[in-house]
Amino acid sequence: MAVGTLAAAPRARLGRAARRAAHLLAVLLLVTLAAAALVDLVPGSPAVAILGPSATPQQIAELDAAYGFDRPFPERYLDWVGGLVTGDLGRSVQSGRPVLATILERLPVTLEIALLAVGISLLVAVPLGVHTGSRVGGPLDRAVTAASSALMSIPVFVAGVVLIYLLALTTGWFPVSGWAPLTDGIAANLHFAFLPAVALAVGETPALLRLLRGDVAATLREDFVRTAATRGLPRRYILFRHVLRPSALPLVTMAAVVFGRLLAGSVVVESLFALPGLGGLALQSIPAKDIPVIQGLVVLVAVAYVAVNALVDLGYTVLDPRTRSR
Amino acid sequence: MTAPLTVPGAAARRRRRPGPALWLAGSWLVLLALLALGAGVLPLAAPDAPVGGPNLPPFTAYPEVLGTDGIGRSVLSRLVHGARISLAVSLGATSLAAVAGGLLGVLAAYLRGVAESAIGVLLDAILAFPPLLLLLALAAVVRPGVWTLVASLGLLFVPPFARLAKAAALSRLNREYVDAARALGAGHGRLLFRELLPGCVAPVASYAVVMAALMIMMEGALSFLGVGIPPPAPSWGAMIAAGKDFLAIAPQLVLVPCAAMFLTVLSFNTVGERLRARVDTISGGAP
Amino acid sequence: MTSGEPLLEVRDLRCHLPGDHGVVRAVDGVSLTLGHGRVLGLVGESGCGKSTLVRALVGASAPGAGVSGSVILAGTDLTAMPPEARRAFVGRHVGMVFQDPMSALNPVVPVGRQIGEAVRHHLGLSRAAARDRAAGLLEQVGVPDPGRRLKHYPHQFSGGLRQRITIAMALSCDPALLIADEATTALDVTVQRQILDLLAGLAGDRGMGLVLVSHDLGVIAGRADEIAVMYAGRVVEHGLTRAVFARPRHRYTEALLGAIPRLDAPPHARLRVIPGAPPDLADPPPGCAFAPRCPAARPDCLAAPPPLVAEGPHAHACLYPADGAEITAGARRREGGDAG
Repeated sequence: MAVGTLAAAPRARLGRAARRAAHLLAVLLLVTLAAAALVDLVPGSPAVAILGPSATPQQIAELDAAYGFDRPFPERYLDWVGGLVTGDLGRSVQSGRPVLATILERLPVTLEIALLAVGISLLVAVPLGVHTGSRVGGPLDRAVTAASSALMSIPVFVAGVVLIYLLALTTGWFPVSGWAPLTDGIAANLHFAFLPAVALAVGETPALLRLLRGDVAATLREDFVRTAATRGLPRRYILFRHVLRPSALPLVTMAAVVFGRLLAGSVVVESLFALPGLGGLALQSIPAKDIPVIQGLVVLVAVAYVAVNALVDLGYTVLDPRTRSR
Repeated sequence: MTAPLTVPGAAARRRRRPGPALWLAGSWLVLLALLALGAGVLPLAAPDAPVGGPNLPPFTAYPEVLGTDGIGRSVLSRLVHGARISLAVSLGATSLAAVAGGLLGVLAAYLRGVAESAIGVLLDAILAFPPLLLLLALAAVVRPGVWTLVASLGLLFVPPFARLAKAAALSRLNREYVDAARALGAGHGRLLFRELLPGCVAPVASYAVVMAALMIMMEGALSFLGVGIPPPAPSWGAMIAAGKDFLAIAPQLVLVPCAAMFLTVLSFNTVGERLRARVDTISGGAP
Repeated sequence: MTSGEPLLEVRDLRCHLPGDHGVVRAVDGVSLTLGHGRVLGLVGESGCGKSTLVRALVGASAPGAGVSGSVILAGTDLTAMPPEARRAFVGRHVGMVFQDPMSALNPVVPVGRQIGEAVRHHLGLSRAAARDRAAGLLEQVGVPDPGRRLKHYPHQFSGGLRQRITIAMALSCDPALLIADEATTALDVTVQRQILDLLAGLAGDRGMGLVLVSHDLGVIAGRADEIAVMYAGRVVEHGLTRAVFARPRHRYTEALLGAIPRLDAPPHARLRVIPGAPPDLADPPPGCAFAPRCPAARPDCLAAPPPLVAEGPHAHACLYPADGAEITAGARRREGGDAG
């Protein structure tokens, strides 16, 4: 970010926090402006786009008035941001229901598969990363490095259809598509959630793996690891206590960033597996030109994205003993 | 490129020679580029008209060696024409992002102060938008086409290039030859375009190859979701999306474009990673 | 551990490291003996193989190093042990203190835990017992308010306190031998003295063998019972501290002693430096490694490396040793002498 990452003295840190907050506010301002401007990007009037060519001028005028599409931008923007602050994102053109409620009821599905995907990624990346990082250049390391390059090159929809073909159609182990909410029981829920989560995890695991591998390899060259070795501590203990621990923070950071990315990136998987999540909502709203819903989605996900990154930044400062009380 | 970037350092020379993976990746990309460029003149069936029965399996008919899709169109022809669109969008958007990002980054590094902060906020705002969602939102209001895709993808990926270029320019700003040029009375334009920009070309260009892979994936995802290049124009993502309904009876309709996509992305990644490692070892280690 | 046998016996230890221009003979046939409770000072210029020797002693040589010879610690032949068992044995019985306390400590693990972990592993103490022991150790090494400090991280301590913490770590399992490898080099002069006094005091109190490795004779002078001087991967002189200082035999030792600034020298006397540079250990000269820099070298010095010859408790590897009677500035060196 534009705010430098220079090592901060205590006094400079406060200034840095303030600058960072101002920065975040500026970003949020731009994000909301851009979302509000979506309406103006529609060729002609949004009402025409929504109602179709057969609409009467009177119908168009009524819709414009109901959603405020005809009002000048500044007025519309302030009104919308005011609503945003109080949790009122307007109403869906399609269903007439409040946008916020519509989004919130879809959120758990997206949240769940994103979390599950991060979990699966970590489950694979942590043991492999520690192992390969401690044996750089070994046979497993080379195999894993090659495999992770390959995995990184698989687009999520390719991963999804291949998984469906192999694990759903051919073997019948998992359902091809659909969703069972948690209220149907955890087993049924996981049965449906597993493939989408794996499809998402495929592309994200290599990033976590590489980060950890590099970190572990670097930490292993540190003197304190050699000290620990001369003290006769077992290799496994050194790996987990002295090597993995310093790597835990960057790993958590990366996992949080991945999670934020998946929240927004699950559209493809939700479409492929017909999941009732945020991505599905976005896809329904696009052909219907349901602009209030789209605006709400863009802003909420962007805010979540910014918030995750800010929290990670904060967490870093709070959690790392080296920066905590310096 | 300036001399320090093209003269391989000892560390770079000690690196492995290009292995078979790199050759294969390069060959695939060259082949793909030739096919895409020659799609119009090659003896291929029309991509958007039926040439035979639906869902012909591969290797059963000549010249349709890859079979036909659900409505009898040539899979081979659609694959080649799809490559054209994928490559055009990916390379176009990458170039746009690289040039815009590179310039912004160098400017931010050179001007510092308020301009640097303003550019930073702008880039962060772009980064704050989850790319796929923003593209979907844009698709809701703007009719998609090659140019809108190139523009929106290109803009979305300005920030990473800008950061890279800024870092490269900052590391160069402190070097003696820039000071020397400044002391000799070089103007802003000369400093920017003759001293700073050339140093950013190598890192930005090598990064662009990796980003091209990402762009192919993004374009594929959009086409897959039905908000990319509108049908009947062929595109790999759309082929996969259309084929998935026949996954149980004609898996090749999905697997063939999937393989093409995977190979292309993998090739870009392989070449790009290699170039980046190379640029890092050459210009890296600078104080 | 019976008192009949020495604490540490090193026989013909060699450690050859792979280098850019061939094999580097970093340690080339070192033999040493150290009795229980004795303090040995190991001296030599940087690059003479001191640290490589120490690493080879404890079985922590760099990967790819070719190590031969034997190291016997209190009757146990370490070189005959499988690597893992050796690491465990050395970790239990040998404490190590390194040059840079900041990098020797894990920055994200509280110091109490770092002191206690070896205790828990080697002695099987409970978490609480290990913590109490760690607090006790901190107190012994002079860290104030040990109970509270256990929870602190390394960066919250000053350089001197950090080195005290690494000493506490080294002492945690009651080692029979403590090796301090340039343990005070990175510290301020005043702190240096305190740490050295602490090390020597602890060794005395616990009857622990101590090896003080340093490039600085002054660091070792007052604390070591005996001194071994290393040059180009070999021990060139070994004897009681007083004897070595009073009557250095090897020409290198003599030069080293001459290079110490003296308060009783005339105000503008030139500080004597040793001319030339240590040899390239990848391509050492055929004879005495010091011969190219030695003012007393004769043709036969260049023939073969002179063996370490004992004269009572004092051993040296010089064909034409100095008699060492006068080492003050300006004294003329006597050439020749009795061939050993």
